[in-house]
Amino acid sequence: MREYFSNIFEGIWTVLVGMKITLKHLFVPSITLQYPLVKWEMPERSRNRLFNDIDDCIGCDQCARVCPVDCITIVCEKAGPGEDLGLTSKGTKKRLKVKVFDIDMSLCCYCGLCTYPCPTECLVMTPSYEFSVYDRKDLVYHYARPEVAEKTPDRGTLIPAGQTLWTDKPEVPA
Amino acid sequence: MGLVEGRFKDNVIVTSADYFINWARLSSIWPMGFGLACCAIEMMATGASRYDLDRLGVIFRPSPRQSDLMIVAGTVTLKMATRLKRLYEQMPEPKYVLAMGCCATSGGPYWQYGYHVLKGVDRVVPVDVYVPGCPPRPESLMEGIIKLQEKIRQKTIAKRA
Repeated sequence: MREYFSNIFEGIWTVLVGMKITLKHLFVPSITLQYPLVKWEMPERSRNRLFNDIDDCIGCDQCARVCPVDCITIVCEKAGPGEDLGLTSKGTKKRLKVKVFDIDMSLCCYCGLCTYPCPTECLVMTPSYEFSVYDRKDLVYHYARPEVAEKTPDRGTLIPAGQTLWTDKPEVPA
Repeated sequence: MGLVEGRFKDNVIVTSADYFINWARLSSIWPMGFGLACCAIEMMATGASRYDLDRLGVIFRPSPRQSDLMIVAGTVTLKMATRLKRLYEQMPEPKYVLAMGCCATSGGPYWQYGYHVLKGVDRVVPVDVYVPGCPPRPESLMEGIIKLQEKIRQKTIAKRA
C-alpha cells in the first residue's frame, strides 16, 4: 500500500521537475530569426556571390588560373595598334579587350582565392547570398556581356540588422 | 488531376480551387529528412530553433511516402544516385526537388575530375529550385524554399505543369 502511493507521488513529482524546465523556457526570449522579414547583417568580408567590375578588369587571367574548380572563363583579345582602351580606376592601362568573363556560381566553392591575385581588385566576394534560381543556366553570370545576361548581379548590399524586405534597402558604398 | 486536365479554361471554379489547393500545398511543404554531405549540417541548422523551418510549414518527414519535397543536400555519388532516384519515385505526387549546394546543382568542386560524383542531380530527377552555395547559408535555403512556394503558387489543376 505504502509503495503504491509512493509510486504515484514519484510519478507526479518527476513530471513536475520536467515541466519546471519547460515552464522556465516559456519566459526565455525567443532566438528565432524571422528570416524573410528580418535579416542578419553580414560581415563586410563575408564570402558569398562573386562580383566582377568589368570596367576595371584588365583580363589578366590570374583569377581563372588560381581557381581550384575552374569556374571562371575568360576570353581576351589584344587591342589593335593605336587603340586606347583607357585606364582602370586605379590607373592601370588596359591592354586586353575582355570578350568573355563568365563565372559559373554553380561550380564556385567560395574559397575566395580568386580575389587575392586580382591586381585591380575588381573581382570581389559580396555579402549577397540570396540568388536561388529555377534554371541552372541562370547561375552562370556573364560579366563581359551584360546584353546577354538579363540581369548582371551587383555588388550586393550589406543588409543592416532589423532591416525588412519591404522597405528600400539603403545604399551602402561598396 | 488526370480527370480535369486540359478540359477547362480559367474560370471562377478552377481559379478558386487552384488558389485553395496551391495555398494548402505551399504552406505545408514536407521535405524528406535525408542529408548526403556537409549541406545536411546546414539543413539541420535551418530546421533548428535559430532559423526554424517550421515557421514556413516545413516539417521533415522520415519517409518518402509522406513527403512533398526532396532537399538534395550534398554530394550525390553515383552509388547514391540510384537510391536517390528510387526515393524520388517513392514520393507521391505532387513532388518537388530542391538542389541544395553546388554539388547537387552541378557536381560543384567535383565537376571536372570527380569520377564518383553525379554531375548535377538534374541528370536523374527533375529539379525545381537550385540553391547555390558551398554550403548555402540557412537563409539561402529558406530563400530557396520561398522561391519554391512562389513556383507552387503558379500551378493550376487545369493543365499539367
